[in-house]
Amino acid sequence: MTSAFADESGVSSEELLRRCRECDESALRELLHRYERPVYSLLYRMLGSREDADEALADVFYKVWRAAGSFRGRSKFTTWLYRIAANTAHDVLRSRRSRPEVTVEDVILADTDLVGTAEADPEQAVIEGEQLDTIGMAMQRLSEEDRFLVTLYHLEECSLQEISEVTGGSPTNLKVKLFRARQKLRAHLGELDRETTDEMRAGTTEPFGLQPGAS
Amino acid sequence: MRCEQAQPNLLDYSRGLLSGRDAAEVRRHVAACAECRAVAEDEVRLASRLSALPRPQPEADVWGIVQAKVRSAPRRPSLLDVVRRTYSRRLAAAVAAVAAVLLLAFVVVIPRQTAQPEREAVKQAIALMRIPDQQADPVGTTDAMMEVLQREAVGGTP
Repeated sequence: MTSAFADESGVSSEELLRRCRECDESALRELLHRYERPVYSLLYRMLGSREDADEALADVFYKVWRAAGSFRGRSKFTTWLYRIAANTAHDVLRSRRSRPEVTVEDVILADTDLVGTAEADPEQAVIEGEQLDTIGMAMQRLSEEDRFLVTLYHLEECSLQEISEVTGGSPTNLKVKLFRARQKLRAHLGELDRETTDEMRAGTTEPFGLQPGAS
Repeated sequence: MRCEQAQPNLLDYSRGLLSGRDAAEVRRHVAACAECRAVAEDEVRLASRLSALPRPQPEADVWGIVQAKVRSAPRRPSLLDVVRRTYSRRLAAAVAAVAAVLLLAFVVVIPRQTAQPEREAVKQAIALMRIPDQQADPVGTTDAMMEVLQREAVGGTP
């Protein structure tokens, strides 16, 4: 992944991983320094929660440390890293599904609440809430696979070839899958707009994402 | 080109990422299809909104968490890694030595194995030579011995 990941020093990531195999913590720290932003961004978009993304990010790099010996060099380090990140996000989502009382919307609303309560000024909280883009909400309504593809392609700016190395499947099939995912995303955006309009008609002036009465 | 074929390519087309032939086919289709022109506009608008999404940064001290996890379950390097790191040069020399021995074995042993029938023939002839000594029959012994040696000289294997 050349676009999102740029090496800052002369040491390759594969060499750093080899040093991780030899229990060199400074090599792991350098890998974290290099890749925490793109991996965190991916995890945040997959999970929709900063708290979960923080925890998952630490899990990803712990798994890198534990699994360093299994890296055979058949793929690029970044491909391998994204696979670990995808599996980690999948585990978090599966565990969330096993607790039906916790929905994706609850997690995102908790974030919104956090923004609101962190600010002493209620007006500021409303402004922060308004700034939450509905497209981020719509993405959470996509399937896990669609969200992963859209995030890698549109946010991490990976090429279809790079994504195909992570997920399998041909670039041509991925292009069709991505188009269908964007179609669904447009449909979810339309639903969200309608829901917001309905809430306003019902007399709720709170922006989307802030529940009436939540403080 | 049909709409189902054109639509997945509309975003790449609008970004100028399609090859000449594919771009020409999409261009022809879009010129004649109002629905695909509308989809192309939606695609561009949506892609622009997606790329404008913020990329949040981690809030927690992630290295602190990772380091705590690493230290709570210390992992030793594998035996192979230790050997590789400590003895990498010696290992390479040992591998080279083993390869040389194997090569030598192939060079020496295989030709000897192919010469086996000739050696057997000589042994047989020598055995025949010993029998007349014991039986005091030099004529018959010499004939049998010569017969065996001649067969080998011609190239046949008994």
